[in-house]
Amino acid sequence: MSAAVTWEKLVTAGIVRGESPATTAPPMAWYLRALAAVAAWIAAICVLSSTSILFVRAFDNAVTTLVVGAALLAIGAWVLARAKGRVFVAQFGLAFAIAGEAAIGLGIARASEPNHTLAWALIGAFEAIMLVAIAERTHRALAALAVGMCGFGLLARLGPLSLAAPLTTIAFVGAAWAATRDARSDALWRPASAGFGVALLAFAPLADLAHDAVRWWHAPPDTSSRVAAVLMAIAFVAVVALLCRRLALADSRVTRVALLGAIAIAALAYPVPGLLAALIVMLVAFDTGRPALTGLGIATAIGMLGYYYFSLATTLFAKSVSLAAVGIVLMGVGAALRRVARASEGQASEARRHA
Amino acid sequence: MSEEIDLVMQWNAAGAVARDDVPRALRASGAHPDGARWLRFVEWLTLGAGSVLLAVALVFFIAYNWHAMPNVARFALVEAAIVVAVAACLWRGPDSTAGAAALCAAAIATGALLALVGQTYQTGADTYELFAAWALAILPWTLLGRQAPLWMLLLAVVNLASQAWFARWGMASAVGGQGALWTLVLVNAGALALWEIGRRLDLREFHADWALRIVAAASGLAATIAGIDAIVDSRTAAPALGIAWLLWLAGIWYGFRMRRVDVFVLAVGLGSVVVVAALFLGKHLFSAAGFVSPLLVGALVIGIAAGGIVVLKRVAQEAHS
Repeated sequence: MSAAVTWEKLVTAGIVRGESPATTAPPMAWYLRALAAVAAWIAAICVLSSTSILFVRAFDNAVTTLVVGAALLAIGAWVLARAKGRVFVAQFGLAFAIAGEAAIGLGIARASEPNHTLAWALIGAFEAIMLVAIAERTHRALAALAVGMCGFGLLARLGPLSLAAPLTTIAFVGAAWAATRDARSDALWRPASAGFGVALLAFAPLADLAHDAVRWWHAPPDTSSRVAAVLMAIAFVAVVALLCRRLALADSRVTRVALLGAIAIAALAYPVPGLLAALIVMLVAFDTGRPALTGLGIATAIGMLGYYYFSLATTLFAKSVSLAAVGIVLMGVGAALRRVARASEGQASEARRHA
Repeated sequence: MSEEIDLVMQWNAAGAVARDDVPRALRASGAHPDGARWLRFVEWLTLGAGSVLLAVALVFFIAYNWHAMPNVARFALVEAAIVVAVAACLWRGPDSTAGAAALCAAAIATGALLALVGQTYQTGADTYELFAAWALAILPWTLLGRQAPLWMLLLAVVNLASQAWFARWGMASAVGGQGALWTLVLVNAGALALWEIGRRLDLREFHADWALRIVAAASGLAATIAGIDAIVDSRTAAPALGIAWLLWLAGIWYGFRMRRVDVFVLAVGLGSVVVVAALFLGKHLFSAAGFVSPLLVGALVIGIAAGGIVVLKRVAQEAHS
């Protein structure tokens, strides 16, 4: 949709007046950014390989690794600051920045040995600083994903791995909605929320699957996975409630039906790992106009249901009943929402006619 | 939608849209969905997911009661599900969300019925025959129903049937040892071509952008695997796959740049070029000249990606103006 058409819509809504200001060329579409990220990653591996050949002892110990990483990161940040929209320059800078951060992460891990908990915490804190410091959008998404990964690793070491999903949910939802405040918030939080969203989709099911595996890592016993499941259910209902509030629904019946449906879905989705996380990503991404992330949430939800099918934790009969119940509830919720919303629409247009 | 978000944020940065008005501006511009769009989304989601879950629940129920149920009961259950789903589709109409969801559920249940036939009567049918029969059975519904999800299901089943055929007859060794891979490329490239023809004929179901993107991604994945195989496989027939990959790229450029513009499909092609080029350069240059080689490979990969992105951005701007 062109800038002129969009401006006209805002004029009609009474939000702006007069001529639209000049606009710069829009940033890249998400799939071009993803492509750029893949190319930058490949190039970062090449940069690290080249560095390790040039400086044979570059990665021998923690200190030299940190020094080399800092140098690569400084080059990358300097190039990115001067990119000014030039794609080749920006990707070159991104490659050096990624290579530098990978080397710094390796250096921190070596310096912290054998304290892996400290390593995860320090790398996560470093990536959080980089998330804010380097303003390039693809870098911010990757840095947020790295923060999510470090959080996952830290929780695995500390014990409550099951809390990875609830905590990442808070980060994703908070970032996605914070991005809608103004341009400055959008520049920081929209790419960050993409990274947190991908982390949530990856780690919510993994945290559940790894629940038994933590014993192999000699880590403290995990908190009950039921605690995490309850927290995710609460998070799902809270997200639906907040969505109803954001939409400023005039008819409270729609809100009531939506909340009852959310409670029913949360209760029924309990045995399916990662499903509620995928649904949260899908709903919040749709609300904030992110079709790719919405699709990723839908695909992950389908994948989690597929995993549920192949797991041997429950009988086929229990699965059949659970899926049928969820299916009937979903169709009931959809039909009820449609009926209530159309009744509400009818009442509103009736009121406008009389007015 | 992301374009509208960027515009509103640019206007906010320029001071034309006040900070307090940004959320309203995002909804008014269509960047964020309003109540009507939410309702359509929830309707599509709940009815679509609900019907698929019911179809899958039926499959689980049958599997659970497998040994206890007599053959008559098994067939009656599955066939009743198909009849109910088709009746629901006819009642609500295939153009409605509910009707389309019911038709998809019927198509999935047809696969379950064929599996039941194969297992109950021990016909000796192979897996590929099951998938081929499933594809043929749902083809009339797909043609008449005119729904993009049905075409996606048909494509998935055809892919499974062709790969199962090669697995059964050991014909993976055909065509120089790469018969299965050739089939993957041809089926998915053919699907993309047919989808585009359907769009040109202005058939409604082929205007679904999300489905075109799935077909393009599947075609891109198959072609990229072919390109990679051409580089890493030492068999004499491997270069032919490289030629197939190049022809696929030429087809993408012709269909989605010369005939009409679709930046996403072109981006799939560019992604394939980046991956194959990285592998080719890595294989031939990585160890050629000390520390310079990896840097050169990295620079070339970025150059290809960046150059391609610049071209695609220009193409997108031309298409919008």
